[in-house]
Amino acid sequence: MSVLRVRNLSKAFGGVHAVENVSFDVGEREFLALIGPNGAGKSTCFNMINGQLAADHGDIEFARRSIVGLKPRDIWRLGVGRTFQVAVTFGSMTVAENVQMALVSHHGEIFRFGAAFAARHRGRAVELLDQVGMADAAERSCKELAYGDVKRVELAIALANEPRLLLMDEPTAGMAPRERNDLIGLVKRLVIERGISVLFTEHSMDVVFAYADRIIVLARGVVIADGNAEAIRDNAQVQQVYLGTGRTFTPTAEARP
Amino acid sequence: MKALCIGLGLVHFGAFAVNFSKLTLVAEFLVMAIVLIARPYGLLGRPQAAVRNPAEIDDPIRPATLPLKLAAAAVLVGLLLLSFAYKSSPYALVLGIDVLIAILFATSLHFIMGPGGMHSFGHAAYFGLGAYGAALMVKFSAAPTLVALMVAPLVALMGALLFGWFAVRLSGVYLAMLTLAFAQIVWSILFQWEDVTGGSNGILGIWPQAPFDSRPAFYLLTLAIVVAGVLILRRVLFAPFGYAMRAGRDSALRAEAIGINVKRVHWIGFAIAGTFAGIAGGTFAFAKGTISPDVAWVSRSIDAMVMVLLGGIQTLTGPIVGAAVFTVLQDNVMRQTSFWRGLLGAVILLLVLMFPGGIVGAMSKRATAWRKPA
Repeated sequence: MSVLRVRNLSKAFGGVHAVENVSFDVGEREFLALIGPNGAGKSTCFNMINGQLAADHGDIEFARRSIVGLKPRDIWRLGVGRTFQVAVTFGSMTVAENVQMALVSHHGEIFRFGAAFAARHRGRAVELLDQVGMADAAERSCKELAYGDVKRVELAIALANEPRLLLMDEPTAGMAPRERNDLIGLVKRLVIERGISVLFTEHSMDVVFAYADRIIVLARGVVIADGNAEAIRDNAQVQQVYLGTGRTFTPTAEARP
Repeated sequence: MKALCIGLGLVHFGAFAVNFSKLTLVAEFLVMAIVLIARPYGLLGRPQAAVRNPAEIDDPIRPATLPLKLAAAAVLVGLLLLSFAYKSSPYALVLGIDVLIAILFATSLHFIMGPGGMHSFGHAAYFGLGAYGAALMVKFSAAPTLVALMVAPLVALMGALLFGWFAVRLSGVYLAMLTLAFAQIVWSILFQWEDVTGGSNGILGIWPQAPFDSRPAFYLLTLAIVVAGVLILRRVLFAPFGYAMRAGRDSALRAEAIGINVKRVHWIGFAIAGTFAGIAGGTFAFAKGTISPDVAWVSRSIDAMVMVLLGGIQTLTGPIVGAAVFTVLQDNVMRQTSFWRGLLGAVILLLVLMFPGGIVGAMSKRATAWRKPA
């Protein structure tokens, strides 16, 4: 059974077809990568799924319910977690407060005016931070964190609403190779432990080929390949699309699935 | 626009007669507001991303430390004792009431400006609505003081809900312009609706009734109202709602992605701030006994902004210190020289240059620097 069903998704910007007739499924507990060269339509596709962009055509179903036209916050309420290409947290709050904020929202407690925020869901927040290895930094101000740590906090925030599906837009962008593997390894572990599905876009091929269960390749807004790492690596069309971009499809030595 | 209104004069719409010549001032600002609402990014502009976050990110807010609590208690005792000083220095209480009202007004503005990130240039609108709400209750229905004081925030709340609904859709300089336009609309209605508001003469003879008819009694009432108001606003900031407001300011994108309806949160925040500004305005009406459209004029909005910035926008006690310093300073300078506006401006300029993060901001920075090497 699939968690997310995308059917004939299309979007044009002033006559340019950024995404055209894209269809795919994300299965239960699947770690699915959406890749493609720059301008292939990955981000457009992503932003239609998370509700940031309105699709011209097509349907998106999450847990057998159409989510086309819903706002990002409504999609989140249905159980879709999300991280951004450039990680964003609430800079004026501590690490723990960031996660508590998501938990408070998840429990529908935003419009409480009298109760103190400080103790709310504190234990659960620390638990989530522990899972991403940030429990020690719970009291630190988020604006002081190194970028790699901000990414981890963002992951903890994204897990706060017990999502069934996690959307990660370039989760390792701006990170050092070693940090990258740590983070993706962590996500992969969470997928297995918590039974969530992940759809992610990615630029670094080593990460994709080492960890993804399945890979979808987009080029000029169209799906040109869909399969496991081996099938994608041997696909002539994919090789052609990436030809001259300097990408080798070999996983680096330290990245092991 | 003005000529058009005057030219139209008295026009009948069915049973309603609208005297356009009385709308000259309102029309001007109404056009400004409509343009900003319909074309929020200028007539030829394109949408910009909502930016609410300040250049320098705030530190996490912390509950009051013990020294701060003790200091606050000491100040409160001092303020209570001041009520006995009426015989020896009656003016101290007059100034005290002014300072207290300024504190509540500035704190309510800080509520949306700091944690909400909405730089309102028209906060005097809600002060004015509160003041006139209370004054009109006294004028037309001879309402008891406490009833009039309860009507004041309700009137301001109505205004803030209406104007805020439009204002939270904008950010940055366009938000500032729209709030200014709304405040000017309020001011021009107060100025030109003579039958009700008394026009430029304002409303006279709004004095508190017994038991608040003596200066010390009214001072204590003001003290109670302001302390309660400041504590409530502070409590809201430490509650989930206050955090949600800051979340929306820090990153609207991230806040929406965790299910927070940022516009609604900021709208309610705007309404809360307006309500408390209305309480300050209502108290002001009774303190002065006479009010004129000046209560909603731009300079009052700017004064409040200066108080917030002077005290330090990134701190919670900043607006309190800023309002007190500003009001006392204004009072002193005013009595020294007839060029007081210029001199006051120069002093404030000096203070801002000396304390870039505001008075409280600079003090807390010094305090942390002291603590660290130890």
